[in-house]
Amino acid sequence: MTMNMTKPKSMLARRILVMFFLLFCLMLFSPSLLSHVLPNKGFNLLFGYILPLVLVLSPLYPVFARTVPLEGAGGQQQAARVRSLSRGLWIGVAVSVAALAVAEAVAPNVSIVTSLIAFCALQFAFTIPLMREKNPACKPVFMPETQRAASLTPRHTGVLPTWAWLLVWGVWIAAVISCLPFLLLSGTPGGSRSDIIILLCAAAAPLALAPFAIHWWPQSPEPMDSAGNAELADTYRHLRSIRAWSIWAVAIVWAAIFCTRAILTAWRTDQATLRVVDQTFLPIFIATMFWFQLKYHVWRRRATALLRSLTGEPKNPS
Amino acid sequence: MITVNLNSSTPLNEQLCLGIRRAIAMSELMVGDPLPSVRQLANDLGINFNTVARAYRDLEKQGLLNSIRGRGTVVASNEETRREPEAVVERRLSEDLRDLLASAQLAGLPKEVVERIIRGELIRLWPTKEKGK
Repeated sequence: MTMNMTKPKSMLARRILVMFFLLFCLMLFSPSLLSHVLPNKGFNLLFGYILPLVLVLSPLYPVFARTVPLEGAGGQQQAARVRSLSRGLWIGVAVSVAALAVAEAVAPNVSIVTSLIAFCALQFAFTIPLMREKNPACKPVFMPETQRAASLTPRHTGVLPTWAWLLVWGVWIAAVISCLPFLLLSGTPGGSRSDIIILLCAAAAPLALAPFAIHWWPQSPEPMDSAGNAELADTYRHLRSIRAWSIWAVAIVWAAIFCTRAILTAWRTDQATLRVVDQTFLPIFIATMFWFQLKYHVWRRRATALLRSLTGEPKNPS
Repeated sequence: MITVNLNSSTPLNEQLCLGIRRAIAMSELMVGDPLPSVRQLANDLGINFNTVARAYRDLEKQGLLNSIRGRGTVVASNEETRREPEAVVERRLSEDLRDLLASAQLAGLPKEVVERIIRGELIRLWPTKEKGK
């Protein structure tokens, strides 16, 4: 018998890439990078010191996410691969922290760029391969070797992508159309018109990504036990809904930040008002992202535990 | 829910066909119900897209499924098109059953157990009629 086997696509890797992209846009959009003229100490602290450190340390996440019983899945070889990747990740993070410390001595903006490069390198070289080895969403390791089950209920009804697209694109098109004339006519206080174009592009970049993300996230593989289980199917349904809503919520909050900031810039408002807007909306944006991430991980853990109990896999990984 | 066995001697696309046929016969899938996309089913089962696509195509040829533009694949609504001549079905059922019963006998399964299994399956497929008896 010929078996046509393919690896299910990595859902977590995609999520990490989307988060990274949003963070990148957020930093481009931030006054500390875009316009150096803003004497904003709070933002410099956040984007010059805290965020770079978080970016450099965040790739360590899969080292602590001990969710997969490797013994039952890939055996000795997989455990060895995980160990070598973990070791490489620790060394990479140590080198990145040292580089960051040197960069901090030069300038906060240099440290941001250093942390972004380090984050990218660590993600692609170690974190994503490690997640693929360890996470059940990336590989169907919980399923017995021979027997596999799947739901016959379609996850796409056709209604979901339509109104998702309308919601995300509609909000953004309205935002861009309403702001564009002001921006092109006026320019920023202390900045040039090209700054405005960069700001527009940076803020609108997630727009290009969001519909695709909405399209493929609900299609992530959902490993089932050999007989199938209604409770597990319900848990997956809940996870899908969290994923979809998180993208919509983030897109809307992002649009609100963009509109408010663009209109205020066009009106040549004072820096204090602009700072208040930044300090109100950006924390909401970040909090929204983290709230959905937290909720998602709680449900993900629940699904993993349920799957483990159904397949009878050992609880403790190697 | 559909289950496939990767070590079985039956090809994967045939297992998929059998699973979907069974789901339709047992009313888990009703007429007009949409099926998951080829990509979704292939991802969930960890098998190639072409295998799932081939199974869907075979079932379409048999008249069990319909591909509708914009809606995907649905369970066929016209029951007449999927119905084979009764004599052909009877003959095939008889042959298949004989083979299965022969394997059960060779495996040393008692007649009572075989009867119980067959009765159980009949009740699952024709619940009202069997319960009424």
